[in-house]
Amino acid sequence: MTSFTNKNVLNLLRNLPRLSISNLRNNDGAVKKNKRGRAQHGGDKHGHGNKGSKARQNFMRPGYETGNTPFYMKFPREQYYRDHHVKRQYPPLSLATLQQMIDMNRIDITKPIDLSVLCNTGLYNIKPEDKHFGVNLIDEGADNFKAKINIEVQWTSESTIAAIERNGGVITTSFFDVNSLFILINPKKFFQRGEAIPRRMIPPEDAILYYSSAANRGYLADPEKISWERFVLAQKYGYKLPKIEDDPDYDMLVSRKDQRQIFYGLEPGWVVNLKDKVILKPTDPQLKEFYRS
Amino acid sequence: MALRILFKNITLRSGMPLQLNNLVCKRDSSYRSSPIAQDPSCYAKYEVSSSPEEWKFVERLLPSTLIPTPSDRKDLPSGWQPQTATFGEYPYFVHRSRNHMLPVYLKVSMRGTRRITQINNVDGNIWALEAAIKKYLTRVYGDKKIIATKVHEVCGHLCIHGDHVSKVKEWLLKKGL
Repeated sequence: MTSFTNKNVLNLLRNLPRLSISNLRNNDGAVKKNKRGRAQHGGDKHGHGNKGSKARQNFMRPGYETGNTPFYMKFPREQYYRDHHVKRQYPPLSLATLQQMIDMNRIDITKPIDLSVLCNTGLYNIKPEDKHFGVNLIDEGADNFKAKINIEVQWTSESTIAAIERNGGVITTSFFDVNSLFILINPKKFFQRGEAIPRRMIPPEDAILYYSSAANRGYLADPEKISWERFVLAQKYGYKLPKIEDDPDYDMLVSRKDQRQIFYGLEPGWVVNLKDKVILKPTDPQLKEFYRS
Repeated sequence: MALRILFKNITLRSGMPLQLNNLVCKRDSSYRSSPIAQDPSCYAKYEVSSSPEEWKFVERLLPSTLIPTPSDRKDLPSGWQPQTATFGEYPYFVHRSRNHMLPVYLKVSMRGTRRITQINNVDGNIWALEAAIKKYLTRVYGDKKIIATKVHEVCGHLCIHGDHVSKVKEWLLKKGL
C-alpha cells in the first residue's frame, strides 16, 4: 500500500462520524419479534409442528380425560367448594412473619397492632374488592414467637391465641364490613377525602357466632368469659398465664376498640383535617345520637 | 353513571354575550358537581379540637415514608441477621435488598419444571463468588447433583440451576453477608 492511500484512508477515518448510539445496530436475532407473522412473513406453522395439542398450546386441565366424562363428574358428590366465590376470604399472615416485622422495627409493639398497622408496613395487604375481609393470623412459627403484643385480627386459631397469650399478649378477633375495611387499610387516603369516619357495621348472620365467642376472643364476647377462656387455654397448653394487671404496659394491653369504632381513639362522626392538624367533632344532638354506639 | 351536557355562556370582550356549544360533562354523583359551600350556619354544628393527645391517634395511622433501620442484634427470635461483613472483606460482596433481606430468589418457569436460584446485587468479583458457591454446593451434594451456573456480570446476577435458596442463604449468613 502506498503512503498516498494511507493518507486517504486516515483522512476518511477522521471525517467519518465517531462510534455512537446513533450508528450502532443490534446483532442479528437479538431483538425477537413479538408478533406472529402472517402468510409470507413467517406464517405457516410458527415453529409448532403439525396439528395436535402441541400446536394448540393445549395443556389439559387436571382431571380432564380427553372427551370421556371425567372421573370427578361421574358420580354424585358433596360440593365442598360450592359458592367459594362469595365466601369471605382471610389472607394468612404467619406468626413467623409477624415476628420478623417486629424484629426489623417495621411494627411498633408499644402500641396496639391492627390491620392498618399491618398494611402500613407495606409487607402485607388485603384487597376488600376480592372478598378479603381481613387478616388470618396462622400459627406457623408459634414456637419462636417471643413478642408481647396487643393485636386485633379478623380470624385466628386456638394455637395462635395460645402463642400470643403465653408471652403476655392480648389478641382480639373483630369484624369489619367492606366499607370500614377500605378505610382501615388506607387511613391516609380516607382522611384526605375529608369525610366523617363512619360507624362500623355489626357482623353478618353467619359470622356473629364466631365474633361473640370467648374461645375465639371475639370482640362481642363478654370480657369475664374471655378471662376465663384465657385461663382454660393456659391449662390446656401448659403454660403459666402472665398477669396483665401487673404488667408495666397495662394501658397498651387493655386498649380495645368500641364495637362501632374503626380506629383506636377516633370516634365515628369525627372528621380529620390533615392540613390544619385538627379534628372536627359534631355537636348536633341528632348527629350525636346517630353516631352513638 | 349519569352524564349531563351543559351549555356554557361565554362573554366576549366587547361585552356581547355569545352562546357556544361548549360541552361540559357533569357527573351528578361527584361532589364537584354540587353547589359551592354556603355559610357555616347552614350546616350541622361542630367543634374544632386541636388536642395533641387526640392527634397522636391520627399520626400513628399515617404510614412511614422510610424503611426503618433494623436493630443490629444477632440473636433475634425470627432468625434474621444483620449484615456484618464489610465491603472489601471478600473479593465479592452481596448487597442486601431495600428491605434488608438477602437478595436470593427462586425463579420458577417452564410450567414449574425449571427452577433457578438467583442471587442479585452481586458486587465485586462475581466469578469468585460463583466459584465459592459452586465449591460449597458440590461439598453439600457430592456427586449427586451437577451444579450448573450462569453469571450475568453487568447486572450482577448469579443463577444456579435448581432450588438451592435455603442452602445459599445459609451460606451467605455464615459469611456475614
